[in-house]
Amino acid sequence: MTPTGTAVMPASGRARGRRRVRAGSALGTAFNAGVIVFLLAPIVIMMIESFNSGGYLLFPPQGVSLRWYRAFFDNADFVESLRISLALAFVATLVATTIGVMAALALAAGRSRAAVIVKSGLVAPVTVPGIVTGTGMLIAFSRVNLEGSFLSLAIAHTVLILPFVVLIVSAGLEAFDRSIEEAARSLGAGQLRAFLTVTLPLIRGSLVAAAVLAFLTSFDEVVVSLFLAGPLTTTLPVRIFHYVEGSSSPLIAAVSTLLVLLAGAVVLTLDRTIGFTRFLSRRPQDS
Amino acid sequence: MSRDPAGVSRPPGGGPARRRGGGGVGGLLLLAPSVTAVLVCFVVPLALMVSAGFDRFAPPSTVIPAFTLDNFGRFFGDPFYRAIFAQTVGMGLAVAAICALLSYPLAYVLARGTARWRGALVLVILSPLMISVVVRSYGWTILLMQGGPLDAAFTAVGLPAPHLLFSMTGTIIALAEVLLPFMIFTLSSVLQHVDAGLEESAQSLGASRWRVFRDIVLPLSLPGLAAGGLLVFVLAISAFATPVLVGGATTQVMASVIFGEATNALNWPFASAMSTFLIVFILALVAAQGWLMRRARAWAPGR
Repeated sequence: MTPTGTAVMPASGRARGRRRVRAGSALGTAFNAGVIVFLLAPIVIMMIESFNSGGYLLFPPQGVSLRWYRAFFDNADFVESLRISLALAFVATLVATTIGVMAALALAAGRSRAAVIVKSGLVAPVTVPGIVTGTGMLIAFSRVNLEGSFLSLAIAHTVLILPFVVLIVSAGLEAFDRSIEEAARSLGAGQLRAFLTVTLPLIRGSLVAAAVLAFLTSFDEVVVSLFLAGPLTTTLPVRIFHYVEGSSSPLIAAVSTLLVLLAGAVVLTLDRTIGFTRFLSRRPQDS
Repeated sequence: MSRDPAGVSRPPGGGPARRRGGGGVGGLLLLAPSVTAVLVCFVVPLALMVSAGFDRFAPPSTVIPAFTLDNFGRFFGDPFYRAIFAQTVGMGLAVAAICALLSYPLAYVLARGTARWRGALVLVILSPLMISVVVRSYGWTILLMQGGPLDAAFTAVGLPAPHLLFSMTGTIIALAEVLLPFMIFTLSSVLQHVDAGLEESAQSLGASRWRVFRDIVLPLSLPGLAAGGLLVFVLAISAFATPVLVGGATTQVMASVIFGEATNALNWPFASAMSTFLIVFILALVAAQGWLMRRARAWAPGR
């Protein structure tokens, strides 16, 4: 790892040092591989169990079948919950992205103390535990007789995913040279036109990333939704939660595997299109 | 810096050349929807919750507006709730410690590895975060279930099966896995700023790898351990889905007690008091750590 480090050592010491370093990094690599196995184990075992042909969870699984995938699509409750979750994530993402981009644009222009305070205020919902937010929203929405309604869930999710939009789009706006937009304005482009033809294309990457992360966050949200969801507005994670509490049918493994594949497709697409992981993993000395 | 945040006064030579956003009325209009949304739909509910903590509860489901400290008194006075709190804090400490131990070597590799490797590694560590915590907890119920993979592995090597599903130990293991990515990313972002040249010079002067780690890397990465540890601790003590699904009804933590009081017992005042205590406890921890870090930074350069 550090070839320059051993260069000045005497010959015998260098050999010993190298051997020790090699043994050390082999041990380290094995340890890290173990940690990655630990990190992925629950997801992998669930995917394996989803093809179980038995009537209940067994390890090792009996036979291979797709019966639990069929069971999911035959289960009206689960399909309805999937529909609710998709609709909810769509509405919340649409609203949060719109108002979040507006806020990010306003905040990017001013570097004042007030702008910093407003920004941390808009990001606050992500810092408060769901169990606390859920208690508060349950109390607030029942005051206005909205608990259990789709509207209450849509409002809650919008506020919960807004921080992601504000943070990501703000970072995107900071990365490009705002003088291009000023140039467009000085050449006579109107405010809206400068935004649509100059700013928007430049922040497209962060906009897409923000919307996708917001959608996934809403689609996966469970704690606040458990407080607010009613019998007719049971989102998919809430239904899975109640189902797992009561039984251990491989049906959940099939549903979960579908969700994992969805998340995986999203992450890979993002990585291909906008270099998602490169953006997150860059380090200062690379540039 | 000199820009007027409220945008009341126009900058000199303003007019048509003025940039949009931030300063002017346009900026306030752009901010209005999101600020209103957060105020009305987040700040107001939290304020209602805090105030509900001082209300009186009359079973089965009546809330009488009042200003009483009974709910807080019940939480601090009843040994049952004190035990729940102690158990939750113990769980948070165990999870933070496991995460720190498991993530350190991986965070180091992430901070020092070649760019190609790092991309793949980040993708692997990041992907679990994209998957619902319910799904990941469900995966743990399979891994830990009676006769499941973990039990099978133990019996295969001749050890008694541990049966960790519906236990605190199982909950701690599952939570550590769920929260591990947060620790890895926090720690590696701090380790990136530890100058690799320092390690190389120490090694070239004959220091063993262990000494380099103990005297250079570890002390310089302490802020990362502290920040990641606090983040994981806070997320663990407020976690709900994993303790309920993996820990079962017998493993009660703060979040599950709050949820039960709010949705089953319908005792909103008591649930609100506990929620208020939880958020105040977390804020106090964050503030205390910030203060300690500032003290440490003020002290460090003079060393």
